Amino acid sequence: MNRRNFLSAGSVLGLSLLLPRGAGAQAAQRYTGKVLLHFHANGGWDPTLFCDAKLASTVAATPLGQDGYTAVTDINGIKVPAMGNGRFNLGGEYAWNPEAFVNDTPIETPERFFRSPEGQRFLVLNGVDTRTNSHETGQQFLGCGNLAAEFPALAALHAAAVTDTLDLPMAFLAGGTYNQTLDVIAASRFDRDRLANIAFPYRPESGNANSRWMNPKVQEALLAAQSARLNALVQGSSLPRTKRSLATFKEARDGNSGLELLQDVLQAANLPFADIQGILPYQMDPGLAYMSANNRWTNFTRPIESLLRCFQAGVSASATYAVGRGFDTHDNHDANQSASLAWQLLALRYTMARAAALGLTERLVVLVTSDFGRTPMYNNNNKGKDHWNVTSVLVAGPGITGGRAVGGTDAGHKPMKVDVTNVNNVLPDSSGNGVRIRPSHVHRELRRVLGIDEAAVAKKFPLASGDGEQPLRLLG
Amino acid sequence: MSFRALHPRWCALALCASLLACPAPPGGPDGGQAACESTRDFFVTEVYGKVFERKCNNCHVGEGTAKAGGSKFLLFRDNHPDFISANLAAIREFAKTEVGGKPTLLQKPLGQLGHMGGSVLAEDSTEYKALTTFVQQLRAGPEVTCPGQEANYQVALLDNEELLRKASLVLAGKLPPADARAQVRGNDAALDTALLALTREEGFYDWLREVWNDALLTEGAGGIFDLGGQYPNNARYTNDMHPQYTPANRTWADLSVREEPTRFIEYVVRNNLPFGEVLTGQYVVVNPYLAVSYGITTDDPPANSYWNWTKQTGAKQVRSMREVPLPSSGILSTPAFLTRWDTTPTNKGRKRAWKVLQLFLATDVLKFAERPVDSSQLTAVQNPTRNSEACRSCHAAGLDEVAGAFRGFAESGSRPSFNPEDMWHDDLFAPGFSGRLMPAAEYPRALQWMTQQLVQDPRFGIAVTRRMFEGLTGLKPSEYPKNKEAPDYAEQVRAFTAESDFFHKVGQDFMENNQDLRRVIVAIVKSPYFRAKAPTGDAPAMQAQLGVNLLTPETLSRKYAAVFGFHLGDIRNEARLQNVGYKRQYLREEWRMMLGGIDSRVTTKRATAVSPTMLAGATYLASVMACRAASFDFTRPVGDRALFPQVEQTTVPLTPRASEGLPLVAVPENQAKIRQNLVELHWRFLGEKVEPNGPEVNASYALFETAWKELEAEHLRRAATNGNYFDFEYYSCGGRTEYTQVRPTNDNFVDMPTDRRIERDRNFTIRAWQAVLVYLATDFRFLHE
Repeated sequence: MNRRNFLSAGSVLGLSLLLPRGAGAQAAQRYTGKVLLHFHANGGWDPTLFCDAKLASTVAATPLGQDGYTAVTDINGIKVPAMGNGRFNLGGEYAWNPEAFVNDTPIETPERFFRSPEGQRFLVLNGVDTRTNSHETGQQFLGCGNLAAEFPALAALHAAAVTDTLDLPMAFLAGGTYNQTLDVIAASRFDRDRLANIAFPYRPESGNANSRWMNPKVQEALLAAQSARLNALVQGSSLPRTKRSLATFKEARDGNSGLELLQDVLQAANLPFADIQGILPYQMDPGLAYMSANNRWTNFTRPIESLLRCFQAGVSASATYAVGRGFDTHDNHDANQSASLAWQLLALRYTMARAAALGLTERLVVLVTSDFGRTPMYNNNNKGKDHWNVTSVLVAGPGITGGRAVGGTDAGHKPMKVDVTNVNNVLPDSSGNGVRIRPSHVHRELRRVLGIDEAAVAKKFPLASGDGEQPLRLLG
Repeated sequence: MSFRALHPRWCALALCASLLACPAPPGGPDGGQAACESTRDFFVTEVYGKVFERKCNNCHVGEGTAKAGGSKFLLFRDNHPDFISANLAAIREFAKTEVGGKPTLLQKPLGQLGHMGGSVLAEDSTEYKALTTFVQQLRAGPEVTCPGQEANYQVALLDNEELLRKASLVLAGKLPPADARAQVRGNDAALDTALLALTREEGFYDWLREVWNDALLTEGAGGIFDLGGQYPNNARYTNDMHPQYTPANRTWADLSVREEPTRFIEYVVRNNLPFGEVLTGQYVVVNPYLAVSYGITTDDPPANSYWNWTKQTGAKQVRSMREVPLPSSGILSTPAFLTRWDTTPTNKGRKRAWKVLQLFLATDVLKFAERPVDSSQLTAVQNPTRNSEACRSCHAAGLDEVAGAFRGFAESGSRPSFNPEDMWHDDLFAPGFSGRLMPAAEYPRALQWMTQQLVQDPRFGIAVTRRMFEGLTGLKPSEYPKNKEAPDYAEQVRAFTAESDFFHKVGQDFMENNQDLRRVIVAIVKSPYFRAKAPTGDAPAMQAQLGVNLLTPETLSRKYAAVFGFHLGDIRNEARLQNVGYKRQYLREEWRMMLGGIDSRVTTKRATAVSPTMLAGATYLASVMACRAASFDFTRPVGDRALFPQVEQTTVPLTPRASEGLPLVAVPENQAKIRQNLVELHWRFLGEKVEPNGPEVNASYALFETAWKELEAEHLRRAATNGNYFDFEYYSCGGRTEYTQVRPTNDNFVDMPTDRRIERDRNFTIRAWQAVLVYLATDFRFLHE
């Protein structure tokens, strides 16, 4: 019987399960299993600018406008814009030019990214059919794997499955775009400046171990009274919404036992740029100077560092995160999109490099998505690109073979199918034997890789089945 | 009290069968049935979802191919806020048509009469039988209704006192005074008066702005810089080379821009104007900072004038080096709205139109796009938003025509400049409203024309009701049940219909009564969605949405103030927050986020459940408040106390001993006073009506006495070595500060006169009460209402 069921049975039996969390409480356990970090690029990215590159075409059936680059490089099946050709804003002539930073664009290119040890960890899924042009629906489909109705975000589902057996203070860190929980878990948001108060709520001065609001024995009596009271409320008769709220409130009380583990996160504050630059060997002057100035580096990496530290401290099981720049480039697409992509790729390299340094490589599963893709052709009057239901997804982590691409699109960035029995076989969209890759396929695979596909909480939210939804072994 | 009064169309089957003489039932597809079922119920549960939604809605909707093919049979999707009534009316009319003596509606689905969609139903199918029954019912005569039968939630409701307390805290951030409590006891008319009075409290307007910002998210707009050079005098707030520039004024101007839309809403409600003026008002609501920016005045804003919001006309912008009038149309022409919902030359105002449709017509066009879309098949279609079926589903459904109302407002970049001579886009559907074309003469004031139409649409009333419903209950309006195979599908549909009917009824009342927002608020407060307290029977689907709501950080901070008697702010900066500007913004942003709030930019949805970190944060804040309040309250005269009117510091539960070995002797009189004080605290903090010797007070009294004993015993141990234990554990918990008064010259609280101070806790009671206060302020019922 898992913990959630045990608690439920306990309330029926009238057992006192809400033990006080005082001096006698058990030491908090750290979570050491797989963790999930879901990056989402808000607004809809353009895979043809970084992992599904293709050149312009004026063929009527496959029109595609591409002014950003003039050659494509194939890195073990991952097609990236070639560096040093044309006007691609991500690299080439701009790479080491401080003028390139005028618009806050850091140095990173798809080619450098996918050739780097960090980038090599990523499996690229191309030709993913989101089946929508709506931002919110796309975010939902990519976030939970279900198109028809909202399911809990994969990150929420994973955290809920983990907390079935273990109390965690911040199981699901919600900093991303799609954070629906449907009450399977409570989403945590935190500000690092307040983390100390959270870690030690009964200390007036969080940094002083001798500081306290009240006598320790009085505090112990208070905690016992709180627990007894909550127990009585849980066992009382309540309306359904109250019952659900009581259940999450009780989970929150239980999760508080691990708050002291947040000390590890606190101690990791403000990692200086000088300590990091060696991790990212492509960083060279003047880019180095730019990134290290005005706290740019700290501001950019600090949220990601915090998430990774929470994973390392064993206080969190999953997180969602959105890099600040927008991807909804209806206007001046190439410049705006490539700048946002550069930040996104930099964030991914940082994540993978720091995860390795923190010993998280064998635990961290990374999912990288966007709302959908962008139209093949430019808009007539402003060089923007509108919404397009075909996109790409990146995944990395233990059990996932990276450095390659699965799936594909045609010359006009229309989706192709993959063979159900061997996903490495890309088939024409007209083929009757294959299926288009959908976000639901990706989520089915991620549930498997995370080991939650058989979890009771995941089974409450079954992914679509039937035609077009045949399981695909996408992640190796 | 139980609730059984919502919609007359309801038929509670069991009751109906046993108590009422119902009209002849429509009967199920397989024959008759005993209980009364109204035409409306039968339509919603058996026909709409199972037949029309599945078989007809792909074509027979406003934007579908059936209309393009000339069909007159058109349905409304469930993203229309009153699709049940609208569909019933449409189908009733169409059911009259017949060919060869048989209703058209029963022939077309079989593929007969040249149905373009071919055969979509088999004649022997359950769906067809249900449709047949329904059509025959419509043709037979008037709708079957089940009079006297109502939605039955099977719940007990908060009594008048409890409801007044909850509504006071949520709406006005205060507790009702004792006399108000007495007045409403058993007196519904007095309750109505008291509830209405809450909507005139100052705190109410803070709450009102928060509720609307949750949807508008305009506090996440860019600020004064977004007004750019298009507005007169703006440079003094944005250009530090300007002689009148000061950083403080820039901060004020920034905040002014972000709050302009919600201050407009506040103005309309505060002045009892028809609520539609929030969209149609051809004026601006500004404070002196915005008045300067809009060119209404050039005077420097007087000090501390941020709070002075007034209605003004004559707002101007700069075009071609000269000032020209700005065509104001309520909140929609404010820079904050236009920049928060910005647009581009290809988006063409549609993002703004989507927001207008969603928020003020309760129509979310993006829901259309949930259907599988395959735009990869569209590249051969010229102008797909007009000519492709996949795109028309959104664009023809009012999106483009409402986008046309924003004609003239700049689409390039985020600056909200206006050019009355702008042309509209030939590739969009023409500007208009709900199928009515906008007269060309109105193009220079397109937004003003559109909003005039909008506020007369019945959907406006429903949309406003839904927004206030969400603000009051924290619940999103239910969606029409998707899973037709769910065992409790019929029950889910009934619950959905009850809620939908409620919105319709309240919205209609709003429209018929001068668009009075207060009537909407009072109606929701008195409904089971806000008032349900406990189940009295088994009705899972009807009760699914009912129960407590997690307080928003803003409401929680107001509750701290109401309950403890003074405001909470940051432990070090509270005074600054109160004294300088953000006087009602009690919680700094990082706390608001940690407690589940929004920043209106990246985080736009409030948390609905308590996480461990939120609970830890609330525990910390409760500890801060209890530390200050326990001693502070005792420094005040009994009549001014918020927490301890029944006891003094010297009201000890047991007689303090001379040494540890001696027995503890109860002081019954004091124990009774302590219990009575606890009764009042349970009401104050948790809304519980409890008895002095009931289980709730027994538990809180036990905590008090246990704490007191621990402190007294520790004192005796220390006294044995000539020490004592009178000091507060944390120095700041002593009563030395006037937490209700801020120094006029700086941000600090006023020091308390020495003769009123409580430096030490010689009777061990203050620290014991401190523990009780934390106990109550971290309780489930404190954090939820």
